[in-house]
Amino acid sequence: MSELLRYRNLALGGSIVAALVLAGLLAPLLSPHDPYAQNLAETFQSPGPAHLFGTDEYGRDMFSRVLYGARLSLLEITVSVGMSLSIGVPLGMLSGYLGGFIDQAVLWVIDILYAFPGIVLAILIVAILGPGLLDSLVAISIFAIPLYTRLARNLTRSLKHMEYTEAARALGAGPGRIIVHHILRNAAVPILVQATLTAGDVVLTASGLSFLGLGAQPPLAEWGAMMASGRNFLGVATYLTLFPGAVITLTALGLNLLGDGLRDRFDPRFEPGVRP
Amino acid sequence: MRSYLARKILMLPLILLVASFLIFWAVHLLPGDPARIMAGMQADQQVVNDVRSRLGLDQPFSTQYEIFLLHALHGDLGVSIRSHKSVAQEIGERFPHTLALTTVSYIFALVMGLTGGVLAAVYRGRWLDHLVMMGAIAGGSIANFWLALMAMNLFAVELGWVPLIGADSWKSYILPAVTLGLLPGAVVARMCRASMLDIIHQDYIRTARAKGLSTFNVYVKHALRNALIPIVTIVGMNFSGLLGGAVITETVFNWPGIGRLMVDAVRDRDYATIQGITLLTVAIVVTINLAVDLLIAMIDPRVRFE
Repeated sequence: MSELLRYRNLALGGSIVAALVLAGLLAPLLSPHDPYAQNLAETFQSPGPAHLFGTDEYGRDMFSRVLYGARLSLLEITVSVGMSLSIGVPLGMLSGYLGGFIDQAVLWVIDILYAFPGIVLAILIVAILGPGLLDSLVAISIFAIPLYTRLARNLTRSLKHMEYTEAARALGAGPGRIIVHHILRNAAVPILVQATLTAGDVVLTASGLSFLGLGAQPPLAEWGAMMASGRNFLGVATYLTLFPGAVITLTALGLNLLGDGLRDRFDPRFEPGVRP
Repeated sequence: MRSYLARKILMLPLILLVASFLIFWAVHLLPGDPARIMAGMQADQQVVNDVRSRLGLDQPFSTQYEIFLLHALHGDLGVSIRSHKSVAQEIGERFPHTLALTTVSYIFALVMGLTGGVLAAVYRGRWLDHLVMMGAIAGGSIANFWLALMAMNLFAVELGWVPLIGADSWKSYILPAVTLGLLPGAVVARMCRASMLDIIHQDYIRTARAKGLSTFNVYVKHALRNALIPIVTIVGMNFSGLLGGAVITETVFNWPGIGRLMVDAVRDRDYATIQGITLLTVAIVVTINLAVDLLIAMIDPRVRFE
């Protein structure tokens, strides 16, 4: 098998994610129109050469809105994954490294958080904080924390007893040095893979909350929020929901393929071609 | 075995207790004055104060939690400010619809996932395997509210094969159940394939084949049965995701279940209902997790003697 075919998922997912990042970064240059400019003379234009994805009920150009939506979805991923990583990973590593009472307490908290279905917890948190993009991201981060904590804890527990870690300890390295240099470095790849896979869920959940009216609010060009308003014109102007939903799905697909591909590439337990 | 079960069962009320405290505390933090909302915006201060003391809202937090817990244990979850009905009664009316929908979609997910997973494992590396795996990745990535709206547009609006919204006939179940079951189906398919591949090369499978058992017998009776342990775990863990997914699916299809009730309750700041539904879903998830643990202990003797 050729190298490319072996890492088909990695290549495909990587390309989709790269396209998303480029679309987000270059949105101001690529958009033919201002995503927020209303033009009441051109409402509900079907997709065509003038408006690639058509126009909405305020005559706004959907293609430009979808492009700008990529920026918000990058923001969603960065904020949400960043928050849950920066809380979940240190907590899990401490828990796995120290063991004992702290470990038990952390496991307890994880068990309790796991008792809440993710989106129900998110809705509860959004109800407290009030609907809004950032509030919904905080909610999503909170329910992703246990995932990273558990992963980091389990990785730390197994890496703690590796020979090179013991050797470092014998040479007089302190816990801080061991955690950062010997454990975090070796745990980074599985954590990164998990983060990529979770990023796909973040996009789906964040846009889902916006779709329910609990996340990003109109007129923000967020894909889920765009679908929520486009939904009222289903059957009349179906393209208003078709395009934003398609890019949500494409983004999640890209991130999932990339995550799978990274795991195949870097995790020796999942080496492609030599599966059991 | 006995101590393992005992520990698991004892944890259940403890987790529920902590979760109920967290939910109560969270709802307590919600903005707005429930007494004012209950009495109406125009009501004078005296009426509001009366409502406040009637609801026990003038008591200290710990007393309020005590009252809430005692009432909840007696099946009293308070009164909805929106419908003025008891929350328990309203959940009782709505929950059967959610249960029916999640059950149908889970059956769909299991049938699709197990069939796909077994076929992919048996035909590993062939086109069928690639097809199933691509389907599984796509199924795990699709935005279910998008799929729901597109399916609604095609099958209900354009073709008129199924009703647009509501839960009136068996036909109403098709679209919501399929859109809701796709994600767990994809997860089951991947898990089932991986688990089957682990087992297909074991000695006892070779023995079964060598003694002339039919392919179906070898793969389904011998291999699938042993591959079930990780699948049961993942199926159980996914139930929580399914309940969450029901929130979105029910909203799209205007399904009269508790998921839609929850979204409406958040919009109307109907605190008692939010509290009641969250408590119920947590209780369901915790119970199912326990059931999964017990089921695994029954299937796999290694767990029992750990």
